[in-house]
Amino acid sequence: MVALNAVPVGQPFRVEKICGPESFVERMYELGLVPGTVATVLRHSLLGGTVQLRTGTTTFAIRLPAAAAIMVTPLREQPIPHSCQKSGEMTASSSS
Amino acid sequence: MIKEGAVHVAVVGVPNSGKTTLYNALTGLRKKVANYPGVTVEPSIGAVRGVDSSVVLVDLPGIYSLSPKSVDESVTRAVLGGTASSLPPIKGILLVLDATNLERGLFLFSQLAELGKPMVVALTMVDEIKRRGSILDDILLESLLGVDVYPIVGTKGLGIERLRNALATVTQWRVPSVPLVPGVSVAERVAWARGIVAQVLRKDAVDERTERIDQIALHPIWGTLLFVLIMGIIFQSIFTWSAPMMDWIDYAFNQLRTWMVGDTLVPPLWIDFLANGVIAGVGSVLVFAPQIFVLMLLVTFLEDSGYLARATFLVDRLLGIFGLQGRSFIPLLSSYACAIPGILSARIIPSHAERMATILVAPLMTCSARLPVYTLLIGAFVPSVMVGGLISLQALVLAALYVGAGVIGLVIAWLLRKTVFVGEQATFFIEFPPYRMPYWRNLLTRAFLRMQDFIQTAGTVILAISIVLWALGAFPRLQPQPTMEPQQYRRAQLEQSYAAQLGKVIAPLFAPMHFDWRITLGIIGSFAAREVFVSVMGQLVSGTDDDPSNAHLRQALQQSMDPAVAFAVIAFYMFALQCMSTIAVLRRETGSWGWAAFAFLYMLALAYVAAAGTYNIARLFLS
Repeated sequence: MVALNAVPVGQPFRVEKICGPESFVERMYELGLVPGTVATVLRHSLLGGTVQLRTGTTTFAIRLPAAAAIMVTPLREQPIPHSCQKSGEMTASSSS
Repeated sequence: MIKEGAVHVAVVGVPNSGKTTLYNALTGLRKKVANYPGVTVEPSIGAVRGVDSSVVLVDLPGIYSLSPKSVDESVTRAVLGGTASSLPPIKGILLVLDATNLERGLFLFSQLAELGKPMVVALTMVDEIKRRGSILDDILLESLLGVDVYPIVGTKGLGIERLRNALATVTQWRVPSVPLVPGVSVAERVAWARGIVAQVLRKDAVDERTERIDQIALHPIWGTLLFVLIMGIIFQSIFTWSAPMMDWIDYAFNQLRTWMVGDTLVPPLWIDFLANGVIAGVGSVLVFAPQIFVLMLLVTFLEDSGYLARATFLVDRLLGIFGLQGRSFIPLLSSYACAIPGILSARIIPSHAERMATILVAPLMTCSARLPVYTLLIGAFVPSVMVGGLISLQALVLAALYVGAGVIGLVIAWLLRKTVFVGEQATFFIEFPPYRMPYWRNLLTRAFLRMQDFIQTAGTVILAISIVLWALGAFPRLQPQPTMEPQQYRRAQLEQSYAAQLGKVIAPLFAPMHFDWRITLGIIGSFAAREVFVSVMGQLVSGTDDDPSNAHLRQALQQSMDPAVAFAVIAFYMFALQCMSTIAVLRRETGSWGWAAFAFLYMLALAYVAAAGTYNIARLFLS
C-alpha cells in the first residue's frame, strides 16, 4: 500500500483507505474514491501540487496533501469492476 | 412577474450538469436573484414561460451532496428543507441529471429522495452519450428511480416543451421511493449509484475528443502557452471590446450635461443638480456595463466550454500557496483592468472562503483608473533616465507598482485565509467536464443578467454616493463676479466648497506624510473615480488642464509639491480603496456593508502606513 501522491502517471491503482477528518473522507468518497474503486493517475500539473485522476468516465483533480492521505494499491493487472473497463483496456493495450 | 401563491420548484443538480442552461431556457429573462441573507451564493428565481399555472423555478447552486460541507450545499439544504426564510416552501424538485456524469447525479438523487418531495428528472447531454457511441436506457432509469425522466437533447432544446408541460402539473409528480436506508454510509450510496449506472448505461465510454484536446490544453509547454494566450485575450478584450461602447456612453452623457448647462457661467441649482449630480451619476454607473457584459460573456464561455477547469488545474499550485485556488486567477487578472467586473467574476469560485479572500484583495490590483494618477506624478517627479541603458526609470517605477500590488494582494489573501476565512483547503478538487460548445443564448442571458443586476443593485448605491459627492462640491454656492473667467469661477467654487472644507478638516490626519488640503480634497474627489485626482490637481494647481501628460500641469506640480509628498501620494493610491463603485459592488457581492467597510478600512490602513513610510524614506534620500 502506498500513498496516492507517490503513484506515477499512467498507473492504475485501487483505493484502500482514506485518512483524515470525516468531512474530507466523505468528500473524497462523494468524488467516487470509495475503497475498492479502481482509478488512474492521468497527469500532474506543471508546477506540481495537483494530481489529475480518472475513475470510470469522470475526471477530476485533487491537491497533493489530499492525495497523501489516500492509501492505494498500485495494480499491475486490471481486475474488472464495471467502472474501470476503460482504463483496463488502456493498460491491457499498453502492456501487450 | 412572480404571482402570489405561485408553486415553487427547486432546480437541483451537480455542477456542470447543464442546470443553469436549462433554467434559462425555461424562464427566459423573467427572473431575479432571491434575497438570501448572510451568504454570497444566492438562489435565482424565475417564472416558467408558457405555462398557465404560475410555477416559479428556484435555481440553486450546483452541488455534489446534501451533507453540508460548503456554503452552496448549506443554502441548497436550507431552501429544500423550507428553513430559508426568504423563500416559500418548495413544492417539487427538478433534478438535472447529466447523462455523461450519471454516478454523481444519482448519488445526489439518493439523498434528495429522502426529502419526500415530488420530483422529476431532466436528463441532459443525451446526444453527447450517443456521440460517444454509448447507449442510455432512459425508460429503465425511469422505472428504477420511480419518477418521470425527461431527456433533453443538447442545444436544440428538444424535450424542453414536454418538461415545460410537466412543470404545469407539479401536484401530479411522483414522490420517489427511498432507495437506501436513511443514514446509510457515503460508500454505500456510491455503490448504489454505480449499480444503477451499470444497468442503464450500455457502454461506459470516455470522451475521446476531450482526451485529445487535453493532451494539448494540459501539456506542460503547449498548455501553458495556450493559457497565457487565452488570459491575454480576456484581459485585452475588457479594454478593446468594451472601449467603444464605454467611450460612447461617456460622450453621450457629457454631451447631455453640456447641453443642459449651456453657456451660463452658473447654471440654476436644479439644472446643476440634474446635470452634474444625477446624470453624471447615472453615467458613471452605465460606463461599467460594457466591461461587465464582455467579461461575463468570456468567463461564461470558458466555464461552459470546459476550459475553466483546465485553467484552474494549470495555475492552482501558484495561487494555492496563498490560500487561493486556480479559479481566483481570472478575477484577479480582470481587476487589473477594473475591480468591478473582476469582483463580479469571482462568482466562478465555488468555495466561499476562497471567493471571499479573492474578492477582498481584488481592489488592490492596479486598475486602469490609477494609471492617470501614476502617469502624472511619475512624469513630474521621477527623472526620465535610463537604467542600465535598457529601460527608463519611470517605466521601472510603474512596473514595480503593478507587480508590487499583485504580490501584496496575494500576501493579504494568504493572511485572510489564515485568520478570517480558514478551512476548505483539504477538500478542494477540480472536476473536468468534457469539452462542449457553449450555447450562445445561455452565455448572452447570463452576461445580461449580471449586468442588469449590477445596474439595479450596485448602481443605485453608486448614484446615491455620486449625488452626495456633487453636493459636497456644489455647496455652499459662490456668487460669480462679472469679471470671472469660467475656469477661475470653478476653481473658486471648489476652494470654498464643503469638499474643500472637509479636505482641510482631515488634512491634519495626514500630517505624517504632509498631505495638504489640496491633496486630501483630491482624495475625497477620487471616490467618484480615481482619475478625478488629476482634474482636481489641474484645477487647483495649474488652473487649466486635467490631462495627466500635460507639461504645464507637471511643471506647476514640480514647483508646488514636495517630491517626497508626491511619492507618498503614489503609495497611497497604490493601496487605498478609493472608488465608490468598488465599495458598492463589494457590498453586493459579499452580502454585507460590514465586509465592504472591512475592505475599505484595511486598505486605508495599508495606504496610510505606506504613504507615511514612503514620505519618510524619501525625505532621507532627497535631503
